[in-house]
Amino acid sequence: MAIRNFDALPYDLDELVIDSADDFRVNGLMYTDPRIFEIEMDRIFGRSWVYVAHESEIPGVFDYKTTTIGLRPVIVSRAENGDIHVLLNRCRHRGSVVCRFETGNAQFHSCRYHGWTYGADGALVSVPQADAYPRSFDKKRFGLMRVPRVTNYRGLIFASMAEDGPSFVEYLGPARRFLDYQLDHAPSGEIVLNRGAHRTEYRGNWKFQIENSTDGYHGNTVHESFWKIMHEFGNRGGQHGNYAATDIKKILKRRDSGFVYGFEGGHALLEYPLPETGLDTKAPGPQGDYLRALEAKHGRATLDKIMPQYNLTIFPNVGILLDQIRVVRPIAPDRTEVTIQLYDLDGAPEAVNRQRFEGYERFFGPASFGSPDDVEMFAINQTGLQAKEVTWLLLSRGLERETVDGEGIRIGHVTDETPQRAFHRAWKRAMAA
Amino acid sequence: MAALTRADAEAFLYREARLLDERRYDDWLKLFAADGLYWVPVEDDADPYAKVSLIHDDGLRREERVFRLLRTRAHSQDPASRTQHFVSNVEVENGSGDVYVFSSQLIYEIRAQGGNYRHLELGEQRAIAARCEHVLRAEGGEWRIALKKMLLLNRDVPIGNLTFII
Repeated sequence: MAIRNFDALPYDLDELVIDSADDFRVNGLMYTDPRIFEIEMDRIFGRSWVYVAHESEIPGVFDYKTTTIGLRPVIVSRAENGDIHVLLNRCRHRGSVVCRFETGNAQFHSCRYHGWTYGADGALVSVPQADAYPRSFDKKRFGLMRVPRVTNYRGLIFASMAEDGPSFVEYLGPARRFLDYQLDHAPSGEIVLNRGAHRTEYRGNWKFQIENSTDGYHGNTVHESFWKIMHEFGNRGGQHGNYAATDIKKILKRRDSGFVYGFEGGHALLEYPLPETGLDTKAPGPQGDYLRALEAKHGRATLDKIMPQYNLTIFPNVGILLDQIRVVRPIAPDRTEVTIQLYDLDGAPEAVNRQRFEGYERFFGPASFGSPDDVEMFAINQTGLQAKEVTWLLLSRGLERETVDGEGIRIGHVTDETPQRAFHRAWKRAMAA
Repeated sequence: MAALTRADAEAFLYREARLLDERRYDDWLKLFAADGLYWVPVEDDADPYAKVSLIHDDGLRREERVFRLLRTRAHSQDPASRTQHFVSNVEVENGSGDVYVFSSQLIYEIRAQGGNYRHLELGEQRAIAARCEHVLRAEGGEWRIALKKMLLLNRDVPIGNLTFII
């Protein structure tokens, strides 16, 4: 039986997140205690809107991909009528997964154990030697369990295990605008996941990767190696984000300008602003063509809002970061899998997508010059937290200088811990419910 | 140049393996032709210009990689990996110009260079198996690598730190 509440634990939820006007701390146990992990799988992943796929991964009828919601194995499947279903990948007979492939096309999913067979919409269509079941046995009641709520937001498929609750748009709240900006980088408004994936795993808690994705404080130390490469070799080998300058002093100055945002729902954003010279929509060549296409569609004022460099995380475990979708998959309190998929901007000149591709490969992936140094931090974090007598991780940076705007968005300096606080406030709320 | 014999090919691969195991990365760079590629795909036959690779280094990216490993503080290689390459199953196909050398490689890796083995990610010995293809080209009386392609057995499943030179 899952541990379903904090009554079973020797401490209270209020002892895990300290949130006051001049203090914000989280307890190390939230990264190490397997009981917390179990409650998270239930209360965070069992209720939130969780990203499961992008439409472009299952374009055709009967296309599917398999993934997880927390630890639950699921199939994201396109039925004959084009509807997308998210089905628990668990035979209603005796519990086997019914689909063992990562992606594919199948009209039916047949359990390998005893042959129970389900349609792409999850309906149980056949049971071998069914006449031996009691007369009351009704196949209609034993389809693959459908994840009750599924939404398609501009091609991003999210699913929620909760029967009721806020719609996805309500759940996003004012973070929606920034998700739109990210997707509006594509002239057609659509992104395409056609570049394959990088998968990595690390020996640390899943929350470290989410926190880090909107952390503007770590880069100077963690990515020291990358800035030196930029300083030494320039951007010929692929530009990271919209860094035009490659002089290390200018890089560090730029890294000190920008904002972080914390949203009520636990979503978070890091923004590095446009280059000081502004967007050059007069530039010749593909980059100029690209900007001109966006300007024609959105107008200059909106273009200037779309084009900063954004890292957006949507609670609990997905990032639409810079040029990629990053899914953080918890496996155990100290084990996490991360899938990164670079996406193309539909309608952008080929040269623009190629440039994004080169910049991506230089910084991201398990053998790259950027993200492996982040992953290293998660392992040293997890190792250090074994010193359990030191209870707290401090997340109070910028607490007294952040502001709250009219929509309730907290906005901090780019190196503040505003995003991490937003995540943990939502985490605490979800865990308490 | 005369055709490459299997003994020549083995000597070439052994030397490359030793340079890597001794972290003589600057010398390793010199094994490549100027337009040579060092390629570790995720998908077997994917176009490396269309799909992300684990590694797809042209000359500049290789230089950056070696610079990073030898002359910057890269946390994922500090402490650094220690490797031991084992090379076997060598076959040679001489064509009209480039020579194809196929091999199997088993690479043991551990981050133990002064690191505390009790810390997560350190002190864990990993084995990486790879099917390798070297395309060699004669340049100024030397064999140079036009392509080094390594197809890792675990190329498309979650993979840990691959920041050393495989």
